[in-house]
Amino acid sequence: MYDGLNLNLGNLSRLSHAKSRSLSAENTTGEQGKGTLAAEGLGSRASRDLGQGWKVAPAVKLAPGGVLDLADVKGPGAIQQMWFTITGHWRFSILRVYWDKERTPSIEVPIGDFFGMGWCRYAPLVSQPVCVNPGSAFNSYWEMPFRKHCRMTLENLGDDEITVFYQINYTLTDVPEDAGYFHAQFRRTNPVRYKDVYTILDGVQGHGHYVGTYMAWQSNNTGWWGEGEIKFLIDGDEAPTICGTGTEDYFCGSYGFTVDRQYQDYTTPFAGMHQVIRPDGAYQSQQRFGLYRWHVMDPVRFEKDLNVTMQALGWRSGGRYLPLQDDIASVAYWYQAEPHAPFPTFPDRDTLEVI
Amino acid sequence: MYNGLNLGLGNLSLLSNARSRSLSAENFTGEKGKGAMAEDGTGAACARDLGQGWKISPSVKIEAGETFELADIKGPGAIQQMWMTPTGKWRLAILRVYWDGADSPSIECPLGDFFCMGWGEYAHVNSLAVCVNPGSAFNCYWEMPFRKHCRITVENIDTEAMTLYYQVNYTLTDVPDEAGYFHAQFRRVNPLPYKDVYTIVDGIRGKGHFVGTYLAWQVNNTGWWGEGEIKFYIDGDAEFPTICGTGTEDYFCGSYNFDRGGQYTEFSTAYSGLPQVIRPDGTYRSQQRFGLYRWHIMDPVRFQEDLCVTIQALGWRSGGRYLPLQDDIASVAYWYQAEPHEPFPELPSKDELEVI
Repeated sequence: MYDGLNLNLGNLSRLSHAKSRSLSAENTTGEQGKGTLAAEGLGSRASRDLGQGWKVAPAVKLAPGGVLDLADVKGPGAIQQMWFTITGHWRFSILRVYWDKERTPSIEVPIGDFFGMGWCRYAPLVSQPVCVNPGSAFNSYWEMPFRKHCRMTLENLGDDEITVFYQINYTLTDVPEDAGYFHAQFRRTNPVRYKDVYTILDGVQGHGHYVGTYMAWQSNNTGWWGEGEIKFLIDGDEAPTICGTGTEDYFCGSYGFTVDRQYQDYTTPFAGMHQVIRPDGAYQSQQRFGLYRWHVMDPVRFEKDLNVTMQALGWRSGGRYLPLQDDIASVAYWYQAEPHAPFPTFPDRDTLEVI
Repeated sequence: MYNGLNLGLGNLSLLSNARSRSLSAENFTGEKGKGAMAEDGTGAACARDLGQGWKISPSVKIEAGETFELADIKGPGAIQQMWMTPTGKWRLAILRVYWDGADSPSIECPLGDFFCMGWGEYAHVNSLAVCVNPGSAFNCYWEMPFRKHCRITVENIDTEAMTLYYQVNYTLTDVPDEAGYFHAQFRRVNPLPYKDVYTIVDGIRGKGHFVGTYLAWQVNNTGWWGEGEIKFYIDGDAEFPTICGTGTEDYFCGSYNFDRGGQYTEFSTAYSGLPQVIRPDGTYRSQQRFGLYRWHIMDPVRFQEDLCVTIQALGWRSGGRYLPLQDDIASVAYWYQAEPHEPFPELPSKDELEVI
């Protein structure tokens, strides 16, 4: 019978013996029939006249320096949807996912950046795999299969206690042999050195495919900042196999993203520039952009290794390109067979901070 | 192992030995490890202090009357995504795609119309199969499998040179036996003769399924113009169609004249939209024009032998009577079918194509 994976609108009629489970503060283990049993929780006071079952434990508090175990789930199965809404500094809450008891995480990303909100300010994002909805709701629909185990944590690097609402919908079912594991890696360089390229991802080892890029980009020069090319170096390439023609081109826009001489934000199923932060003339002095490109219909396949870079390139006098020294952060999303090569050391708090 | 086709968010975890390739002015052949090697190109002067690898060849210039060969690749494989941003008149750059060495193209369509921009001016399109993004970026995500060969050309029939930036992402992999080939055909009638119906496509022979319609519609009478019905004549249907719609806006998944508060209201959704409403400005931009799309992704119209698709242009006149309209209508029909296809009607001449 159908395993309940590979979901889309077109096969939704099919019956399956897959089991549906969900983690939230109301059911922290996801076990069948174990939701809303809490007698104590963040909603205890509000529900004191109503009692058990009346939103007693809708969220959890996470102290500074604390690590919250969001998931500790036995497979086989797959994460199907995640929803979070988190207070505090989104760059300082670190999401980590460990598949099948690996020692190093396959996802290690600030929670804001994972959902396209690297600048720690809300912007609506309406795409197939990621949506950010009012007031500040982070959603992902990436299917993330696992065979033995899924562990998910959230670490609070900030100075303040934060409130975490979350819901992680998953299924318990057989996972096909050719399913890869979801990976996401964060990077930030501030500023990019003159004539350096920005590395979105390197050091990937194994068989897999690249499925997405999020970039949080601050322009440190006047004028247009997006002449730079994306390059995918696949399986030992010295020159890239895939070379783009401009930064906005890679994000499925063109000609400076401008309509009527203004940056025009847009958010589509597979690509967008969902956020344009304009300087306010006082302390919000920086022009910043949030961009995403999901390779859902055109994953970049690799058999052994992958390296992805982006140039930061603008214009200077004499019609010459200007290599930029911008503040750039990114998330790379990909699937691969485990084991993965360990990620670079995660940036420290001062290196992470949106300044 | 999984062949890497039939992609969706739900099966994106599956590993595959399919190979990813991409054509752009930085890698004209798509060959592995051959990108960003150009030493000359449209960006050479801008990169004169930086050298190889620094965006030396991001685009091509297509002279007036010239045909640029954008793709010449061996299969089996599939086009997965295309991105283009042409300058100039979008109606006068003609996209053609030839599958498996065929003499006649399976796609023959002005670039603008192929990406729902038939009027030559930008509007945001936000659908699953086609997106048009700021400033003027044409994207499509139609999967286009081919077995032996894919050839893509762009012909500039204007009197000015044009600049074309493009990126065509494709995969090399086995193609299943039942995969059809993508087709797109452009038509325009200006004006539609009184009491004629507008033919979106006819003369299709073979086994396939219709997957989409784009219409660029100019209304030549006052009042509402969209009472007309769509009709699908399938496999020998003669006088009467198998599938008959109830109104033009209804076919495009809207209703009641697309009217909210006395104004036409643009919308752009996954499977259909009215992304463009061009309003007369009181002087020279005097015509009211519309861009509409309908993708049959969840409801393709299957045919075994032949297909004909028509739409009426129908408004209102005195006495509560329907008025057959004489509007300026252009369209693109999108479908998959097994090859060979019937040759298309001759593409209209430049004067017949021109947006006037």
